[in-house]
Amino acid sequence: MQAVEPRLFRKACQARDLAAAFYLFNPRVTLIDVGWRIEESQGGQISQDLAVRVHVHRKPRGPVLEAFAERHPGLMIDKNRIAFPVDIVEASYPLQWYWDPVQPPPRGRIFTVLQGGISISNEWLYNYGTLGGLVEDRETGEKMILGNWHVLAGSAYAPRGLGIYQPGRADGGSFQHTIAYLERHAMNQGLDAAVAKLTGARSTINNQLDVGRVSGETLPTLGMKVVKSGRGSSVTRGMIDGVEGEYPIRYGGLPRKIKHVHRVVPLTSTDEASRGGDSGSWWLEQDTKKAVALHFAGFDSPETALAMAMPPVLDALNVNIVTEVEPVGVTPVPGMEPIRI
Amino acid sequence: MSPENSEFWDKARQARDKLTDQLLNHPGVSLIDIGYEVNEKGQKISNHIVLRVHIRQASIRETLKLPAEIEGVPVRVVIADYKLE
Repeated sequence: MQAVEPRLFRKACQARDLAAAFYLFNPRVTLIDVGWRIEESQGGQISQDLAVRVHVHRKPRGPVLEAFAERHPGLMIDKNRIAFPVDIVEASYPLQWYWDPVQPPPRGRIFTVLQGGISISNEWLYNYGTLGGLVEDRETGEKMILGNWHVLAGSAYAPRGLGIYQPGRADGGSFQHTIAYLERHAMNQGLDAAVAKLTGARSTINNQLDVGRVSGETLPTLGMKVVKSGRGSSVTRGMIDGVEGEYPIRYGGLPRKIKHVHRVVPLTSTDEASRGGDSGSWWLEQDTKKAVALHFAGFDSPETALAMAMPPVLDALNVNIVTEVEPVGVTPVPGMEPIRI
Repeated sequence: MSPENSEFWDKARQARDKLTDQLLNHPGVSLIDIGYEVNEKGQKISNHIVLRVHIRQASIRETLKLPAEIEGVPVRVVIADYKLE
């Protein structure tokens, strides 16, 4: 290998710094360094040409690259911005302390197709809740996810645009797993509910994991049998034994109340109603699969779950449930599925 | 009075609102709702509809001085400390 001329190396390092300023926080990028260009056409041989190397999880090529550029222009690496030869290298570098990771639970993994019942969190809080389901803005038609305020925001100071990760942070989610941005919430209307606008990085379908498609919405009633799909307890079933409750909560340092609270009890005494991590999941009427309530709290002894009636939640947030069958958003580009770091 | 009767539900809601105004800021109260009659452990014991005051600990009950009924709707206590999940 030839020696590098010092002036050329300094220029390469300056170009690397510029590339890092542009692209180091691009979620595709795993490393930016200075090194020999890698010749793909020569089977990955190291060349004699110095380059700024931008390493990415996946490197689409040909028509896949064109499709990707059209769908995600903001994620493209523009070599022309760097006044030095740039080489795009496909490589990921998992942290070594993660050499023997505990496998995340099934609902805590990355889902390339977003749906109800899977792990999410915001970028501030190290925890996870449940992605409730797909809704659309009544005025603009924009597609969003609906969940709890205490999962999607969790603070009176949470700004619009706060990143939402799938999976949630406590399930390994981080910046590159951003799937939505906090849009608005309904705490001021006495509802622990919020919506986040999808980024379009992944497609979303109207489906509750292991339960099925949501067919619409209806008011919960006493005695109604319900089912939900949540990150914490997976699929659980129950019966509504209390309605129109009010629940005390502190918000912004002041005592407030959550309204339209319905209580769910398991169908048998040995069943589970809910578990930590289920917040944000949707209770559906068991027979019709209509969404009836948004889960937010629970108690273990006896097993009970609390959820807010869905129609007032939808009205407060000015959204409708998406009942279409077709996926919404992008179709994952082959070879570009997110991977775990 | 039938639980399906709208007059019953109007009364039940008014009674709930009275209880909420009085008690929801009490640190020992975790929920006030309308539902099936249950025992203190929250297990259903009949199809009668009652007002339910959920409290975090049994010892709080004495401090609340709850009436037996409001607006003709029976009041019951449930011990349950609900947490955000």
